[in-house]
Amino acid sequence: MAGVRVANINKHFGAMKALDDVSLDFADGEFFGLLGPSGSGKTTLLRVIAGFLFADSGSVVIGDQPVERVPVEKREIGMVFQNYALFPNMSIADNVGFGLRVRKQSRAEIARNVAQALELVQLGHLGERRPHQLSGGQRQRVALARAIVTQPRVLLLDEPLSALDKALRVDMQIELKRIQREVGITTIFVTHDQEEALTLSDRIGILKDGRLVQTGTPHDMYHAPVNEFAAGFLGEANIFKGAVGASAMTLADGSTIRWADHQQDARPPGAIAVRPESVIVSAKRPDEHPHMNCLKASIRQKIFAGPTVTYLLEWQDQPIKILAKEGEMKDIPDAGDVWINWPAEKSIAIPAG
Amino acid sequence: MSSTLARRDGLRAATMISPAYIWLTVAVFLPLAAMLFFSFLSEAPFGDREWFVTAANYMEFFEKGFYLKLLVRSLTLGLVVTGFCILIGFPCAFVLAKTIKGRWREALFLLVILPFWSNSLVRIFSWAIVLRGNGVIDSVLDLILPFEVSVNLMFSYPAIVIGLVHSYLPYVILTSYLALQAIDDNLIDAARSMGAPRRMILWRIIIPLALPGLIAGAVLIFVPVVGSFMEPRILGGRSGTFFGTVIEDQFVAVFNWPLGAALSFILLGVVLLILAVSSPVLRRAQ
Repeated sequence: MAGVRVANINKHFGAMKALDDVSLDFADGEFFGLLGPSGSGKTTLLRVIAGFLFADSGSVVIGDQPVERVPVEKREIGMVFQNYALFPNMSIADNVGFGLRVRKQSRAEIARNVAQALELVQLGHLGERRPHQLSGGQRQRVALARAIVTQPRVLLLDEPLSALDKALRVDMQIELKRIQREVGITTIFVTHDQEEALTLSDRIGILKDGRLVQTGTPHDMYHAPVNEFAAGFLGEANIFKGAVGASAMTLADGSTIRWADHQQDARPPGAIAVRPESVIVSAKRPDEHPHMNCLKASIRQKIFAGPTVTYLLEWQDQPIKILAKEGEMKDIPDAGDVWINWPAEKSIAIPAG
Repeated sequence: MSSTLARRDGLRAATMISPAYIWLTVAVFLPLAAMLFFSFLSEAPFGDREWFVTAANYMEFFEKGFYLKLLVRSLTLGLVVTGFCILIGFPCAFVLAKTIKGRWREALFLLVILPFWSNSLVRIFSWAIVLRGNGVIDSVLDLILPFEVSVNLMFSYPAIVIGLVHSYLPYVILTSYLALQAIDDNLIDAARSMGAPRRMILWRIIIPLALPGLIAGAVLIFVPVVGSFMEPRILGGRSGTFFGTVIEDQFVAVFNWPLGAALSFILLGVVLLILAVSSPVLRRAQ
């Protein structure tokens, strides 16, 4: 097991810059989520770490070994592919044992290790089946068992859960986390699903246009995004912009909003973001309060989703999204003007520039 | 009620299927039946020649070792040509399917199927020009090499094999290409991530998964090559006597249609037998 360090990675595909000076440390045993929209370079970075692609410049170190020029076959990595990539011509046991056969283990050793790996993913009884006889979730587990049975130094997952339906995906997230904890392997996974990244990762890195935007724990990333993109991509955010004063921002409609002092950078913020669940809707104008921000907006739509209700509003032609627990906000009209308010400490000050 | 419905459905199905069956009857079954009938006659039933029903034509095959020897020779030729086609065609198909992308692939694909567009007789005669003494190969070698050489492949077994391989190569390339293209590149990446060397990936993953295409191509080549007569005759000269040329002689030169028909059916039977015997092996491979 080992940590991974990539430094100053650049990668072009023709004229397109896929990775632009990316540097990242993955700690030993860490579960790291690479998050970004499609085309952000997250899969390219994973394939550079795996060794399928060689970077134009920059270094990749696994453990203490620089591997920039080491091909994938010699990197001792385990990888799980989006479509699982199980060998259809082999049984489940042979699939899992393939990497061990490459390593010239004896028949008995292979059988023992395969059984152990299948036991870990709770599929000990399915060794004789063929991949096409398994459900999506089972195939996913087989792919995982196959990737870790060779005791690789790093486990790489390329959108591992995106082919599963939602209910199964949540189960597999829990399962994946359990297995990763049990094996203790450094794991890097790529996803475009922010909820998945938040749930699974010890740390997250957000990529955009081949650049690393921000890294941090899910909690830090959610509560202190470094820019509008990070705020909007990890979770949802209502962004407000206006003339920034010493401790308040004056918006286009003349109202002012405040942020908590402890958040304040040395520089004034470039924008204020508010998470949909931080905002309260009220039919009447609430009493003035120095620590409450209050805006007049109009309701466009109310979406009932069982435990939660989403309100879509409009303020100064800007869409506003508010998320409430069912039954939490009463007497809200289905349309018309209302007041939206949130405490100053829920304002997220986004650094300028 | 339900029985009338079923009857109407049956009628409709029959109407839909009947063109296929009529076509099969006219194009395949009737000529084959006529040939089968001929093969049991003593004389071709033309003009006012006397004929009677006999199994003598089939007996002749078994009585004269000559025919059996020729049959074995034709089957061997089929195996050799199929083997060369696979050896050359599979790597070509692999490069086409997995290495080359975009417009280059289309261009190369066109080159592969180009021979299909030319007349086979023209193809064979152009090979004759290339292979004969003082021909293209001979002249080019003479130009390059400092010493005098004389290469005359014409009218030899190698000439027949070259001509046949050239004619049938596209089949194995096309079928293998389709099978190879269906193999997910991620499978190869997955094997590489587990440290598998190239040779292991080829033998454990690519060839097993491409086997159905490879076998389809092999069957498409083997069956017509065993019965081939044009290439052996033109490129083989005196060494070009095979089962197919003997059958052709019966129809064209000797005018002994019943014997030709009997030999054809023996060939058909042997080929079907070979496919039947090997089919369990082939099915397991798939």
